[in-house]
Amino acid sequence: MTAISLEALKQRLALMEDAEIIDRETTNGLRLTFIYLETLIDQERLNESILEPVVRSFQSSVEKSLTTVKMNRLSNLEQALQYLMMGSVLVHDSSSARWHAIMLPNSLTRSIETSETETIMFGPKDSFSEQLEQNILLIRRRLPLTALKTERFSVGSLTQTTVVLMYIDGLINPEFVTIAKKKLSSIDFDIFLDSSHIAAFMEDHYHSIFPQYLQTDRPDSCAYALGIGKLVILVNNTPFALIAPITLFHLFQSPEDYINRWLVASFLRPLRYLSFLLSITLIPLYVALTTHHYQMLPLQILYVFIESRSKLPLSPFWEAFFILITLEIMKEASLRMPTKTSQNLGVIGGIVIGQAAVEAGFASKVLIVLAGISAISNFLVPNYLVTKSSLLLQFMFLILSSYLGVPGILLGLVGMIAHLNGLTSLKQPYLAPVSPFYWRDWVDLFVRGPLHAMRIRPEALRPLIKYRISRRRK
Amino acid sequence: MKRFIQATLVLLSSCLLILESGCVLLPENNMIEEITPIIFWSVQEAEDGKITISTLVPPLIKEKKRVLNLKVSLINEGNKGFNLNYHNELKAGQIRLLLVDEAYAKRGLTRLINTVLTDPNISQRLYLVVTKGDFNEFLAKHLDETDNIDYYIYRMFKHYEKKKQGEITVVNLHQFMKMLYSQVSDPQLPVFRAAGDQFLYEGTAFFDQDTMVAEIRGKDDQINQLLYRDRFVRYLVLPELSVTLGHIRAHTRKKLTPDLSSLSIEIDVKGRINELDSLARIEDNYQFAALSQKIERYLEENVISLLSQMQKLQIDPLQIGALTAKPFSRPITRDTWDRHWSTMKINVKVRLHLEPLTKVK
Amino acid sequence: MLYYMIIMPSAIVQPYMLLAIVAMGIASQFCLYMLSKWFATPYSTQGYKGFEELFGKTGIKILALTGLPFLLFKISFISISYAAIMQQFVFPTMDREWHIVFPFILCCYLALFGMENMIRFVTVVFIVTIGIFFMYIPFFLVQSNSIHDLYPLIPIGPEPFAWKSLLLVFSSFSGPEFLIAISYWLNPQQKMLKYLTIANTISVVEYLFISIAALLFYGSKYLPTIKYPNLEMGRYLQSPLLERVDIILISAYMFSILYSLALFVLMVYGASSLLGKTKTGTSRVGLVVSCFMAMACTLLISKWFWEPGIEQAFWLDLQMWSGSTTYLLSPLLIWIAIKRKARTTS
Repeated sequence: MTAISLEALKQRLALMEDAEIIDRETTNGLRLTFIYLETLIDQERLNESILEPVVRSFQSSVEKSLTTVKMNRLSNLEQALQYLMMGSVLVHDSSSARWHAIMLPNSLTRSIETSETETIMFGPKDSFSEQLEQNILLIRRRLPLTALKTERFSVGSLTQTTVVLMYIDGLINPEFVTIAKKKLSSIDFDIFLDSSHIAAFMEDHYHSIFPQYLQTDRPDSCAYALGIGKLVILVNNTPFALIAPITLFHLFQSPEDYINRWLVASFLRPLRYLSFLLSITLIPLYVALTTHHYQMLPLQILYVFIESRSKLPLSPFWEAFFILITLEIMKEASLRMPTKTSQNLGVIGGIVIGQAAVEAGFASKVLIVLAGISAISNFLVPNYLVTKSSLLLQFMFLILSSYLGVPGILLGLVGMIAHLNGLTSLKQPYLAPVSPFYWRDWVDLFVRGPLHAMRIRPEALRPLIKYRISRRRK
Repeated sequence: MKRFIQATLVLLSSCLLILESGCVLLPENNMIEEITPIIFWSVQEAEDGKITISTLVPPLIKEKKRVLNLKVSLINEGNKGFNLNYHNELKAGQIRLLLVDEAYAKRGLTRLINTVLTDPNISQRLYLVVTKGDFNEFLAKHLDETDNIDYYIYRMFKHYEKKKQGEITVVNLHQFMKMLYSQVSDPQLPVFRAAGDQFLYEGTAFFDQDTMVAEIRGKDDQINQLLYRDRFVRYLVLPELSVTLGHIRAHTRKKLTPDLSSLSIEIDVKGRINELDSLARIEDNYQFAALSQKIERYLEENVISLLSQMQKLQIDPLQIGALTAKPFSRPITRDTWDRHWSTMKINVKVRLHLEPLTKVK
Repeated sequence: MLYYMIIMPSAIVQPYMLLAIVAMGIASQFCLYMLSKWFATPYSTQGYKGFEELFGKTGIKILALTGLPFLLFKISFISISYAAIMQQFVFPTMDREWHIVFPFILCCYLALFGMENMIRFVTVVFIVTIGIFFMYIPFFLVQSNSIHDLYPLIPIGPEPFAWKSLLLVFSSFSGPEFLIAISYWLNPQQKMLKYLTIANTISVVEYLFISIAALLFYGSKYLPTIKYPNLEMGRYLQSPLLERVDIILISAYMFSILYSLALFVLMVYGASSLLGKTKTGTSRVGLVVSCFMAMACTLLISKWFWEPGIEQAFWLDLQMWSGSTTYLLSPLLIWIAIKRKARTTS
């Protein structure tokens, strides 16, 4: 605990070009020193609401002359520096020899924009931005409750990132909050630039390729999650919030499900599971059939297969392997390129390489079609992280199928589901309404039942308030 | 540490997979571009107890075809021979048709079918066909690049099987076996004649156990189709009456008396008159009724004659014997059934429900 | 057990044997009743302590020692039978030992998740198994079916009554007795009998369903000649996209096979750790070792004592007897132990 002195501060602020130290004298002779970083604070507000009133004031101290702003008494140097770096103006009153901090952070931020990662046609369009306060505001507007608690934590020895834990007190299972708090306070690392870094340190199984925290930049998703008894972790300087605990099935749910008619949504949701399954097993299945199980193909399809494969130089496995790798290179390339170039890349990739590979006799038409289907069906899964990780799964299945055929694929499926079964998110089982079995939750699992039917919050989350409706028959 | 072991295990197992599998794991190579999945075998009787087995390669793809045939004493000897004669390995996993020569069928099919049944790759949905004439000659006339005659024949069977249409008899291996094993019933198979470059449907072969004993054609075959499991028959041509009935759906009720002395069959035939030599015959309702009565009598006579043919041969392709099974009585033996069946009195009642002709002039 | 389900229709060759399924279902209900008595006692939730109270320390060791061969045998039988099926239908040229090794590796992975996770896994397995049943529905719609294949319904045939099939049916209901060993994780309640009854009814319905489908499809004369009627039926199925559905069907059975293997391996581990020094907590190395022990045992049997024909029939008989005995005796044993305990304490 070092006492604050002007010299010590000056020493700390040496070589900081944006540091400003100014002296002012009020009309009744009070000498004040203001210290701030001009990049961090709102200069206009400093002039308007602090400097001008102070200089014109006839009061005997700063506290009395600045009644409109919140002032914090500072006791030591560390505290002072902390405030300074958060965007405060430090004021030294020479008469009373006191130090004060006035928060005047620069509110430079993006405006509220539409979510680009989770786009929906209808429904709320706003999304989180990098500014934490604004994100909290977006959620609080949706849930105007005093029970909506926000607890602050600070993580990262270098970044000092503010993390806010949000939950509805009295509704959420308190166990979740305890675990999350314990995990948050035990984080020990230096740099946190995104919520995914936080998630990496909070996950129970960080080796798994399945995300155990849902990242979203949609305030409506967060509000919904809070409402059914989950908690939300907001991280400063990133538009992505974390939702936990989640299950595998949450990765396949989109906010649009609750906007569509329930029958439509119930049709779309199984489609997503199916397309995920297709995207990881379709090409392996092709390899299995062409290498081991020619008897499984109906004659008409066998004809197509033989015709397209008859003059290829590579075995099905290597053919599929190369096509998948190429596809992935193209996907990755189009992500890294500017938007306009990536469109061209799509055209080149899709038409030129696909067509040319077939014409040159490197790949069969059937495989190109299947690769296309599996790539497209991959995009149907709303969660981006799952989309990415499914590639690894695909390769695992590819190897299994090329050696063991269809039983190999099933072997892989058993392994995958067993792995999912062993995963936990915030110590809660990852396959929750299926295993362990909660039949009441199935109304919003593979189908999206009508909202009227969802009278209770998911049992798997064990919320303290079970019913979502207030008037119910006894 | 735990994770480490887990990861090592996974790694080890995948290494095992990759290293070991290449040579040891699966000695059989089923790579689709390196094999020739044949669609049919055709088996003919040859001299001194041998058989001739033939097939067409390569199936399905657009290449010049070849007929492979070998004279062998065992079927799989033929398969091995084919492999030695042809650059691709022939695989039986996609075999769809087993064509058996009439002469061979008359000697009994058991041995052939046992061979087919024991092969783990061969599906139960294998159509069995009895052929007449020189099938190899027929094949020799379909060797063009674009000519997939084996595939077309398979499609024909599949087409008629799908909606249980009674245009031709379609029997697969499983159905044949079920009838063969059943205590009191006998199987039937379609008969085709290979003549030049044509493959013609002749009728249905009746079997006594596994041996072909009779063949029915034309009119009898049509009646058989009607009686056999309520089929749909597109055309029922009755040249003697100068009438064609179309879109026939028959519903048959067979009833045995408890002492097995008589069988009564009631057939409801629904359909329409498709063709008639002169419209004058159905000018008014009386004439229409008279005609349908005439057709009814005609059908009844033919059903009786078909059934008495079966009685004479002591065979039961229509599974009438199955009706003897009752919930609370012991099942009947083949001998008892044969004794009763050959002397059974048969009453047939045909009821024709014809839709009146419209739009005709 | 699953393997029985696959071969059961070939034991139920006569239609009246369908009644045997129902009768054996009722008999099994009796065993379950005894079992539910166990679950109603407080001992069931206490795990090791509960057993210690009932049988004493040496008693437990003796039980573990007798249970171990049963478990090992069960593991070997299941995995070898499954490997044999795989060999016959899917990869005829692959060595049977490979068909044993691969599932075992995965089963080891499954077992590493521990008992709690494995017990939760049952829902997934159940869903897959139920899914398999939907594949048999088409057999009720096959054209050549007739109700006459299901007659006669009561045993008046000329054949002697098949006691052995009866045994097979009974042993195919066995399995719930292993719930005793895992009751600690099950969190049993008073309603246990209800759940067990539901499970039993489901098994009866399943077996009836499969057997009726097989009888309809094959008829009672053709059926006995087929070794795995269930799978041969799967082979007859065709879908527009894939034929030879049996390959998928057999692979899908892997879910239940691997599940039960993993469960038994965990029990083997538990039993062997009971025999040794009772350590607290479980070690992964121990689990892997016991898994490999089970695999070695299986491979041994498969390599030298599993010739098709006589030996295979012998193993099946042995399994039938051991399955029925454990199913009948272990609930009885525990029931008696509880009664004795109640008498001595009161």
